[in-house]
Amino acid sequence: MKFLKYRWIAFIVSTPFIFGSYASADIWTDSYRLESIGQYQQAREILNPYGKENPDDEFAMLRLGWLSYLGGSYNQSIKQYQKALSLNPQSLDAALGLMLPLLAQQRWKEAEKYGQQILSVAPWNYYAHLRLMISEEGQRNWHALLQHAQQLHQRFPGDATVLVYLARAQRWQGHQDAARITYRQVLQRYPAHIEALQFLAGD
Amino acid sequence: MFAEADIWSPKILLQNNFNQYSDSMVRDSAYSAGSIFSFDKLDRTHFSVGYQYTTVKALNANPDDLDSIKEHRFYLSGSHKLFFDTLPGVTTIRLDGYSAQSKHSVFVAGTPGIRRPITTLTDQLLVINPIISFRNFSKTRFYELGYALSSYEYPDRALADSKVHQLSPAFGFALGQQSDWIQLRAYFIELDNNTVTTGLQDSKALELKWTHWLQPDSLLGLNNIGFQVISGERLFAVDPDAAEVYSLANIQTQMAAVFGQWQIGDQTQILAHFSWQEFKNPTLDNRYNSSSFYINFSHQW
Repeated sequence: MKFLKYRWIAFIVSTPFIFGSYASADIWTDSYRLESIGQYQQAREILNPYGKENPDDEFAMLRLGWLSYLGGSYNQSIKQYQKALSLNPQSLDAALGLMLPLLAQQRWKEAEKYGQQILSVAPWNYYAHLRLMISEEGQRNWHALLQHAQQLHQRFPGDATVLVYLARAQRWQGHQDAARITYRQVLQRYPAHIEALQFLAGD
Repeated sequence: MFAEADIWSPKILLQNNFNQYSDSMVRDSAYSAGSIFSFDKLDRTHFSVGYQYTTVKALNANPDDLDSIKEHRFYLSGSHKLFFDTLPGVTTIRLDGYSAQSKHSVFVAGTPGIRRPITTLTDQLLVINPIISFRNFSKTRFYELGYALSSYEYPDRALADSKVHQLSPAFGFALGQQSDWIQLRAYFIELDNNTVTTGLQDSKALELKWTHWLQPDSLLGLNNIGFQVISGERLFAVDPDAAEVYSLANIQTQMAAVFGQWQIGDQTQILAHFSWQEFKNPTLDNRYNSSSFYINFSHQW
């Protein structure tokens, strides 16, 4: 009987934590559900109180940064990713995430610097390379983009996106024949690719 | 480990302008040379410092007894980009300043046929030009509003100082697949206490500039070409696009220009600009024109 009494005490003491955890899990579920239907602002608003109460929760900052980016609140997204980065300066997730709102605001050089820092520790990180290519295209650094896309194509030969950037760099450098060949390779990997179809139809 | 990089990218621009006048009663030719050094801190902050030397050569015999004008002009500019989540684009605040000293060498007295002594009259110019602009992310619209206050001082002449107020709103938009860009700029210029030019107190002008980007491997390897026209009257105008102050000109009444730009690699550009301009000197009732060739070379590291 004494044992049962202690079990009741244990249940009563732990109840707020159990319900608290349940409520917390619920906001994550709701946040993912709202994100999946494109309601990014609502998905963020559900998490915001939790983020304010737990400013040192690295994952909450990453999640809020992502949702703010999707919702077009780029300044907010930058702050949240920077906060996540300050909590964990080794975080590739935060640095990669930070590149997104910077690219959205066309802050090409700032995004490029983060991309280069990521590649210094993770040389063939696909997303860092992809976002770096977006930055090179935004700055119209066609020589750099051409060389970069060629190197990346050797590492990711099955990837259509890398080939699209390679074709764009070739076009802008006046290498139309090379661009034609590259766009045909894009269509082998992604037969309905509109940009490749339009370029080849214009021949 | 990951931190915002604090890197400044330098850029240099070297420029030359050759100007030949025709039908002028006073001016023969003009030449200017200058350079602008710029520094960009990533994508947000920009500083420029520049210097330009201009010399105007007068005709041998002219009613103003002018021998030449030499101007030393310094330019300082700073701008900062702002990103608001409520606006779908980039807002830029910019402050330009110009300081110039022009020396007018004038024949004073003497016997015809014998070279006469020359005196030099020094004018001072100071311009403050704050500008705010907005460009959308898709680079299809651009809005700008600038105000310039120019202060002209004539310490060596029996002339009162004058102030020039200029409002220069601009609107730009892309056409087609963004291969064409059209920019309109209006100039509303008001002179306080104009003691230099007869009659004119206010002037208005409209500028149209059309830029067309060419396909790679185009004729002569050009990256873009365009034309520019100005109609109306401009006196003591401040042109924020060219970082130019027309402090030595008479009233500009028309201008037509064509230009082409080459892109060498990712970081080097050469711009060539040919223009024809018409001026009037109301004091002498003299309408004249000029043909100019401007070229610049720029490189960014």
